[in-house]
Parts: sequence; structure tokens; C-alpha cells
Amino acid sequence: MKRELPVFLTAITGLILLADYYFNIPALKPYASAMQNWGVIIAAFTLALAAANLIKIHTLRVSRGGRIGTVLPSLVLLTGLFVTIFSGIFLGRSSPSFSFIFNNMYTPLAAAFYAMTAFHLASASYRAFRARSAQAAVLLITGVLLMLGRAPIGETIWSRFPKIADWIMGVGNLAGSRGIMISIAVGVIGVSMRVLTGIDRAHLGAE
Amino acid sequence: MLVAVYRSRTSVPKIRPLAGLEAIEEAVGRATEMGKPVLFTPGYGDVAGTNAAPTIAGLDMLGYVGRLAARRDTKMAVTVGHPNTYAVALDVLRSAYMVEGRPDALGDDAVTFGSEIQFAFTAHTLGRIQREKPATCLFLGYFAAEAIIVAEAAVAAGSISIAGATNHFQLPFFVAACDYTLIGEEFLAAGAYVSNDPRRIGSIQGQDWVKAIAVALAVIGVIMQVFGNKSMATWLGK
Repeated sequence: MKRELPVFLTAITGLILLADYYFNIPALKPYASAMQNWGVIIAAFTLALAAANLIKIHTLRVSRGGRIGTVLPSLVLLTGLFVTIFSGIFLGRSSPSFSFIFNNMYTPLAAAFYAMTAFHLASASYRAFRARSAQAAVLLITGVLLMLGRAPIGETIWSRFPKIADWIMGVGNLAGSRGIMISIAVGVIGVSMRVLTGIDRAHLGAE
Repeated sequence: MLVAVYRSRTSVPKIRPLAGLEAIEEAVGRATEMGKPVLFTPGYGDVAGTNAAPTIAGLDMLGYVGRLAARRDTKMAVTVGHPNTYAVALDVLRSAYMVEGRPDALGDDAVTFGSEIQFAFTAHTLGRIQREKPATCLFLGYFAAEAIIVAEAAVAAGSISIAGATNHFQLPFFVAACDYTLIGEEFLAAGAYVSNDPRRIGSIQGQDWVKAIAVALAVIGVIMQVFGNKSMATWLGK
């Protein structure tokens, strides 16, 4: 029963929401709307559970003491968490303190993280482009042609480089991407079907 | 797909071995030998909505990896980026350890929630990789721009890394940075492959039939288009 009930609820909920999405059945609309609201309510509870886990782990780490490199990040996290919660709940999301945290702390940190991808990409490309096999050699040649086609210096060296790059992107790359996209779409339908019919129950835990 | 599932009751189709999946068991074994943890993350996707399929496929693999780790007494470090996924991941890992008869071996900090926000989740995962120096990093789930950052962190920590994702914009980054990558549908079929469940494997065969039909329709459409008939292209474009 521990497994059958979740499978039954998943199937009923999924079928009602699918029927409501694809067909115009007025009788289903209130049920579909109610189920979506339940999803929001459940998400609120899981957020509380997840936040409790975060606070518990970092509080324990601070209370145990130890190296400054271990304690300090947890202390910063807990301080940031409580200050943000306090300013958001008690002072409001449009308050100057909440806006300051968002605009001057969160946004620059997120931008810095995003900017780091450039350096990581360079080091990953360096390793991937080493021509150790025929496939890696093809990757290297394609990559070099594409870089020359996209960078201004490439056109200066030879005017055909941008055209070669356009061909690689528009024919080779696009055909490969579309093949992968079709297979992913079919795979997603397969996963959904297995979950809705109860064939796939691994997310309910091991049997 | 349903026909293939029905047929699998009498004859179980064979799935070709996938290098990335075969490597998971070896990678967990490596962590056991080195006495270091296995880091697993299903990304920051939700178990509901548009990112549900890769997240559920990732959680499916978490159960498999969790059982391998419990059997070999290897520490698991799981980072999660969505509260709903956190609750499910915790339950999946607990039940994997219980099935292996080692519920006490699962540490309190095995599954940790980082943040729903993309780069805060990334920082959380990077922190665990840098602090715990796992022998193996498994990135199986929903990933976006953080893919290359976490994959490179695994390289810097000296870990063997295996990735699986359906976001086709991020797949090249995983291919470039990780030791093995499960590309798109391979990843979605991974759970069925390791389960040895005939019905689940049957559904994978059904997916291949659907793909064959899609390819046939595309080829017919191209031929019709070449001869000036646009009806197939118009129908497929709807």
C-alpha cells in the first residue's frame, strides 16, 4: 500500500492535468486548478523542510567549531539567511535594506559566478581539443574553424572563414542538435508515460 | 510504447551497453578504494514542471548509486537545488540504504539543500566538492549554465566525473569537461537500463520505434518538399 497509493495518486493527478491541458472540459477545470494549488502548498512545506536542513547543518558546523575555513562560510550563510528573511518578512520586499541585499550583494555575486564560466570553458576546451583520437581531431579542426569564422581576425585572414563557420553551425551543428532534441522529446514522453502508468517507481524509493 | 511494454512480458529486448553507465559502478568502486565520498547531484530542477523528466531520471539513478554506496560502505554527498527534489532525494537515498540493510550508515549531512537560485546552488555544490574532495562526481539531472562550473570543479578536485543531462545547450560543456557523458535520451533510459525491469526496458524499445517513425516522417517530408509538395512540412510544422 505504501507504494500503490502514491502510484495511484500520481496517475489520477497526471491524467486530470493532461486532460485539462489538451481538451476543453469545463467539469475538469476546478479539479485541475485545485491540484495545482495543492502543489504550491506542498512546495511551501518542502521549502520549510529544506530550510530546516540548511539551518541545522550549518548551525552544527558553527557550534562544533574547528578550522576558520569551515566555520566562517557557515556563519556567513546563516547571517545572510536570517538578515534576508528578516528584511523580507518584517520590512517588506520593496524596503531599502532588501533592495540593497538584492542589488548590491546577490546580483554582483551571481554575475561573478556567471562570468567564471568563461575561464572554466577555456580550461575544459584545452583538454577536450587535444587531438588524441580521430574524433578529438575532428573536434579540434571544427573548433578552430568556428573560432576563426566568428572572430574578426578570421575574416581578415581569409574572407571564407565566416561562411565555413555559418555552414558548420547551420548544417552540421543544427542537424546534430535536432537529432538530439527529437530523441530527448521522445525520451521525456517515455519517462512521463512510465511514471504515470506506475512502471517507473524508482523515485518512490528502492523496493 | 505501450505495445512494446506489453510485448516485454514475453521477450525482453536488449539495450546496448552504455560506457557512461558501465563506468558508474567502477567510479563508486574507486571512491571505496580511496576512502573518499561519492558526490551526486540531480541539479536544481523540480520534480514537477518542465524540468521534471531529467530530475526524476536523476533521482532514479540516485537510488542505484545509493545502493552501490551502501553496499560498499562508501560515503554519499548529495547536493540538491530545489526543496521538492530535496524531500524526494532524501527519501530515495534513505530507502536505498534501508534495502541494503545499512540505514545507520547514512549520515545526517548526506543530502543537503543549497538554494533554489541557480548560482547559489552552484556555490553550494562547489563548496562540497572543494571541502570533501570526492573521488567520484555524478552530475545526473537538470543543469543549465552551472554545468561547466561544477564539472571543472570536479576536475580540479581530482575526481572522476560522469554527467547526464537533457539540456542540449549544456551537453557540449559536459562532454568537454567530464570523463563520461550520457547524452539526452541515454540519460533518460539509464534508470531502465540499470533496473533490469523488463517493462521499463520494453518502454525504451518503444521509444526507439517512435524515433524510427519520426525519422521516416522527416525523410518522407524532405522527399515531398524536393518535389514541390509542402503538405507534410505544413502538417509537421503545426
